[in-house]
Amino acid sequence: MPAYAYLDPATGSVLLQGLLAGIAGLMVVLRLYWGQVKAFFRRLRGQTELPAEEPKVADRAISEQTRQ
Amino acid sequence: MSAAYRDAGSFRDPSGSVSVVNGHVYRTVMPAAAADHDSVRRTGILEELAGRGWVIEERRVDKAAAGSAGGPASYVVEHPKLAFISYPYEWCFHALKDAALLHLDVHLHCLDRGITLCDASAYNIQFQGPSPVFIDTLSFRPYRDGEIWVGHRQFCDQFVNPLLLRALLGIPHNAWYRGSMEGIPVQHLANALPFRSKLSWNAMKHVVLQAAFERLSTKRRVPGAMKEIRLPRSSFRAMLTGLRSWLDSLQTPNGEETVWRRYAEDNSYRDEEAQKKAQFVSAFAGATRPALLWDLGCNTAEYSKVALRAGAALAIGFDFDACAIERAYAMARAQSLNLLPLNVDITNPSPSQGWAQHERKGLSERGPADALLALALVHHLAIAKNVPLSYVVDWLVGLARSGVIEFVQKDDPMVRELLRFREDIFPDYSEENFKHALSARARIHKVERISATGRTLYWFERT
Repeated sequence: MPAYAYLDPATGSVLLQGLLAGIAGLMVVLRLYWGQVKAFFRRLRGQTELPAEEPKVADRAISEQTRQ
Repeated sequence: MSAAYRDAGSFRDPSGSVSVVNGHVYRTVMPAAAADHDSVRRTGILEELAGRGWVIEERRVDKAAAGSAGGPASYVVEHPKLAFISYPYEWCFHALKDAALLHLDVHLHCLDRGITLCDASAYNIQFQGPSPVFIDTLSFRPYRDGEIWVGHRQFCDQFVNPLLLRALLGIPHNAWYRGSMEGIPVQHLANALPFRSKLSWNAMKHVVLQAAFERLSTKRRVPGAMKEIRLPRSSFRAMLTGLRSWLDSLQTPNGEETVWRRYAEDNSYRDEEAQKKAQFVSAFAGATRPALLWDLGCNTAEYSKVALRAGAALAIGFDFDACAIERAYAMARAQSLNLLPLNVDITNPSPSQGWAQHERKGLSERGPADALLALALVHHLAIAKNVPLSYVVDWLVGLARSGVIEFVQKDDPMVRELLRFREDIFPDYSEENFKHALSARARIHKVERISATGRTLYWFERT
């Protein structure tokens, strides 16, 4: 059974439409990858441990974008 | 069947439901949906689309007409009753494509008038002859500025992915669709598509990216901001028009299209046997004038056409040969025949399935037909499929009140071909036994031998 059966089945479609709609969707998508992006840059700088803090700045940026 | 029943496939949307009372089809509109439906009706778009033949007609009737179902409803509308209900897993590629294009055309037309569709179920489309019609008038509701296309995912699963399966991979959608019932999931299609197909921007968007986002959302917490994603109306429109031109360009592989074109022309019945058969079928249809005729093992549905011209009102053809059904569908469209050819293997017809095994009806539940044709069929069932002759006759006579069945002798070249590489384990397969089985269940009205090899047509009337 596909895993999405346990979740909102339209998530992929909504994200796609967000992406098509432009920056608001793009920011949400980026937010999903945010952890990976940060880890990537940390690895570049030679840091290995993740800070416990959540990326609140990015969250705020998204909600500001999407409210426009 | 009781005189009043609620349609078993009509329960997902709490806005209303469909009931059938004394052969009339009623749709209730519940209080929660009444304001939206009313404002859609006031725009006049439902009448306009009904006038184009895109959406089924509806007229407001007294609530009491729908019986007990009408009680809690705000109001009730009546739709004309369709003579036959078919399902997307029975449609051929081009029928599914026409249904998809109709859905998009209806949606585009609505969107320009400030109305949108709340879902994109392929089951909301039915066929009147070979013409698709949108049947769920409760799918329409006012468009809210910036809203996303909520039916996009469903449209992909139920229309786009099954069409791509055939167009890009050469696999007919029918068996998979019938099994899953709700279409082909985008993730599964994404897994199956070859790399080259994924490079098209349309496939990239609607299949690859959508599947990737779906996967991603199962692994990570989706930000609440997703709820605030807005889709400008121009982007919404662009999605619909982009999909429309993409789907319109899809074709079945191997250049079948060029072959079908020939079927737009009227095929004549050249040899004597075919002529005799056509005359017999014509006399039968002229005398019985069936409202609904089932043509079992219809091939390219040439004899359905004969029956329609002689007085049958609507013919539904059934054959497991996807190519023959595509041709029959192309012929029905080109010649405006009231014919719907369906991709159904009659040795394994569509079952009753879905919720409580009632949501989608099996083939026999959608009968009986007024009349049937079973031409050059019995030997395929009795010999190629090993079905005992009496079972075959039993089943056929149970499907319709009257019909024409062709019996093919065992020494007919076609039967000999079937027996070429196998032992003849069919001592009971004889015209004598066939006739005996048929006359035990029905009155034989007319018999005619139509070929030198002894092919014989039997016109039966059920007793």
